[in-house]
Amino acid sequence: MIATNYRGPYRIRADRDKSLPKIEHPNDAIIRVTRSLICGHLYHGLVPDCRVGSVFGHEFTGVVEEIGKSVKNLKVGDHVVVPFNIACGSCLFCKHQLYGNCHETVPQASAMAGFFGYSHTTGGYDGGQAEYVRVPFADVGPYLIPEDISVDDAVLLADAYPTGYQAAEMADITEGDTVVVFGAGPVGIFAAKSAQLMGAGRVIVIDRLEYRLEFVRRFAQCEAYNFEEMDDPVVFLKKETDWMGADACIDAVGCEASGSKLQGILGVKMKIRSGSAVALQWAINSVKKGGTVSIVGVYGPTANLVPIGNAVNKGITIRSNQASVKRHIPHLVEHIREGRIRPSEIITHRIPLEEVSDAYHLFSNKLDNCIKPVLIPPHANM
Amino acid sequence: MEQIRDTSSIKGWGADSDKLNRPAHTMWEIPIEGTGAHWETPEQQPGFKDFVSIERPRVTKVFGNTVHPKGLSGLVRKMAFKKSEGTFSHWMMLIFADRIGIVEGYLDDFKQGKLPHPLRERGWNMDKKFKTRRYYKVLTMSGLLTVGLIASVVKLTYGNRR
Ligand SMILES: NC(=O)c1ccc[n+]([C@@H]2O[C@H](COP(=O)([O-])OP(=O)(O)OC[C@H]3O[C@@H](n4cnc5c(N)ncnc54)[C@H](O)[C@@H]3O)[C@@H](O)[C@H]2O)c1
Ligand SMILES: [Zn+2]
Repeated sequence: MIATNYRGPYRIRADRDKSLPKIEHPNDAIIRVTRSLICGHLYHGLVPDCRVGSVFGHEFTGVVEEIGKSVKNLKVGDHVVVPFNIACGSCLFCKHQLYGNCHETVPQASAMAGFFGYSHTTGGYDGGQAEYVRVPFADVGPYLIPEDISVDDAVLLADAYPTGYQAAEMADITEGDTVVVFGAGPVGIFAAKSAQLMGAGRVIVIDRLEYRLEFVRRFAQCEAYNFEEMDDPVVFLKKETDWMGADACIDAVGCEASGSKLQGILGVKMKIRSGSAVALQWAINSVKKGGTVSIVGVYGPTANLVPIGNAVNKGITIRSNQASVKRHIPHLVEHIREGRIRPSEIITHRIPLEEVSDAYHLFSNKLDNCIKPVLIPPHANM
Repeated sequence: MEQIRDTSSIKGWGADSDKLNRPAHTMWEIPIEGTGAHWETPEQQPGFKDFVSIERPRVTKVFGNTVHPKGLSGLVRKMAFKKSEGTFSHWMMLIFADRIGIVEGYLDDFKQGKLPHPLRERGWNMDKKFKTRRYYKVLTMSGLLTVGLIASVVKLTYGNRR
């Protein structure tokens, strides 16, 4: 079958000779992929134990082709969206709906649940940027796409939209709050929109890419500003919020943040810190005393330059996690159904799976005003 | 400064403001059922060929079964997995092994009769379309480099004969 093949940082291709996935556990399913989204920083070689030869892709939809003998909740032919976390449904964490922290799916590490196509630090599973993919715990993860929801909307329920939603949820928004979202990528865009849906009085998005700021202003009906035009984003935000700071700040940027030479050199170039934590630094410094900082941006596992002293002095709450995707899907489907949001509006490019090298380069370099490209395998009807 | 005050223009504004209507909110207080699991503990997937974190007592019930450790990178990974997840050396060794894996990847490609194409794998076609100047710069540089390389090889082999 055709499958992506990671060859090292910034190098990926589609091979045609990958063997088909097999049922390896009674609760596995094999899924024929219909849509698969691209997400960036794995491709930059920043995630440890990301082995050459891996198949990427953790946001996908597909049709069930084969099921293991213990699968009860799915049948062959079902069209499903598959959450990016692989969860057993029965461990302590799954029982509390912390599906992003399932304890039975990653032998190599203990913090997170397994992810599809995302290094051996998350279990070493092949991902969905392929024609077929093995989906473990098929009775837990996959969600049947309702008739009235389009596949393009559904595929965003695998990660980006639930992650943005959880970012807003963790920000503990009460009606009228001022919420600042750092990052106008897919996750930040959905976080801003979700903050509105939770009744925020004012949502301010910060990024440096004009086309994304433009998009989020329209999509989430919020304010959006370019930090490259500011002397100091923290002072700008203080001024914007009556010199008090925002009630909540959301970090939807993660370890590849720009905006500080020091952080960039130590964290991204030399890798002696796990990435550049500029956005998080700004978030902690610009939130109101007693406010909440919600982190969904991804950081490496070691340590970052974060103003923890300031966090203590201001008495802020920091909440963070990998999104518990399965927990959010039914509720987010309602939002789509009610017409409050159309997630697929962020899809800017539709690219055949065979052209995966180009798709990654486009996304990673933010060429052609790219927000989110979707890969389409040859047998999936466009 | 532009500010949005008339929230009635925002589709769905406040739809989630009451936490009781936000079933996703209180994780620890609601008794949870319906995760889809119909087992107390899952069955064990057989055939594990990888490393287990020393912060775990055993292999997990399910795991990814691809790109198993091998070669020099595999040896470095083996060393890395002697350290716990909180240590800097664990992760640095893994990143180091990943870099060794790149070289091994080239060798594997050659062994399988595949010619790796680093530029195409980097998606340079997109540069041709959207970053034309960068594209031609890379093209010229790699052209010059190749010509230079061939010239010096020729010079070394034939130059010495005289
Ligand atoms: N926790 C989860 O479950 C989860 C799931 C998916 C993605 N993520 C993470 O969320 C983050 C965002 O994902 P994405 O897909 O939107 O990525 P993206 O790269 O498309 O977006 C990041 C945006 O941040 C902007 N940016 C860079 N530095 C900034 C700064 N200092 N301040 C403000 N903005 C800045 C960039 O210009 C870019 O537009 C990533 O770290 C990703 O790995 C987390
Ligand atoms: Zn679990």
